Amino acid sequence: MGILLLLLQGAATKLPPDPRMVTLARVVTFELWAFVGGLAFIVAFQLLTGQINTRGLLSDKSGQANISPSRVQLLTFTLAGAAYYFFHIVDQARIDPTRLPDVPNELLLLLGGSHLIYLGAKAASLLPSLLRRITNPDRQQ
Amino acid sequence: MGILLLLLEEATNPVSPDPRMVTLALVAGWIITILVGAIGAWVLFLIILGRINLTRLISEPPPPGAPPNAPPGDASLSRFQFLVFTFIIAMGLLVVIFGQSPLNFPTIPGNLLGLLGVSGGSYVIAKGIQANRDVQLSGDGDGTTDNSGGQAGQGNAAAGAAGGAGGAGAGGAGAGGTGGAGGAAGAK
Repeated sequence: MGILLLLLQGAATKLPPDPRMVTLARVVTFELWAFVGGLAFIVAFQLLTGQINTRGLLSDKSGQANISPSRVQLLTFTLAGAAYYFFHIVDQARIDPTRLPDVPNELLLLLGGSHLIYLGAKAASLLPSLLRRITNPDRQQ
Repeated sequence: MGILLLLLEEATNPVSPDPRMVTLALVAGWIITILVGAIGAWVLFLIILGRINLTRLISEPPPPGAPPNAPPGDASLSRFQFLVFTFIIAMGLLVVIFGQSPLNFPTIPGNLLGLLGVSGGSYVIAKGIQANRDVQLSGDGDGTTDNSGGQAGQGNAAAGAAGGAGGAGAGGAGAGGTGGAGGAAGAK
């Protein structure tokens, strides 16, 4: 589909607008928006209605099913960062529509740090079991 | 597809726009558009009917050895954030492409690839940690460490390959290396 867009771009830039090409471009626009938008809508709908399993999304996996702060912060920063970048794209598209806007370094660092905290907490939950295996190796044989 | 590109370039050449080439370009464009549209509509239709089941879209896989109809594992936050960023960037790309006239494919900034690398790398590393935990839990429980270790090792190898293939960002490449190493260790 990307190639088709490039072809339509070529047709539109090098020639006076051919009404048949314009129609084709409109159909492609509608088609891609319908597919991506439809897919996003279905996924969001199924997430909200519970058809897509979200059980335990925020709970740690140590068996106690407590809410994990590291998961909560990752979810918060992910949703906030994604929403910010999407509206940044929409804003920038009015100013310079030829490129996707840069992701601000601060946002990248924020999300990177958030992911590090999440992964660190997840890895740390392995430690008790690992220590048990080290201190009592006979049990594994 | 390359031949089609050449034909369409010829058709859109401002010096000598051959009407036959323009017609060919239009026919090829409509065929591709209808084909892609039909596939997309069919996929959405099957999802709505439930023939494509999204229930486990963001769930961890069931533990090794579980029956095929076992309930899904807990939802995975790393899968969820990967899903969110994928949709956001895909929709942003469409906004930029279709927000201009004439249509144009935009430049992708390096930072955006870095963002995808962080997101994808985190997903792969989380998968590796989860697989190791499953191995340890099954080893603690019934002494089946060797067998499940091999399975988890294969899982890590697959995760490593995915990370290596999609490793545009540093996070993805690093995660790929880690997963691959874990897979090799598990296979041993």
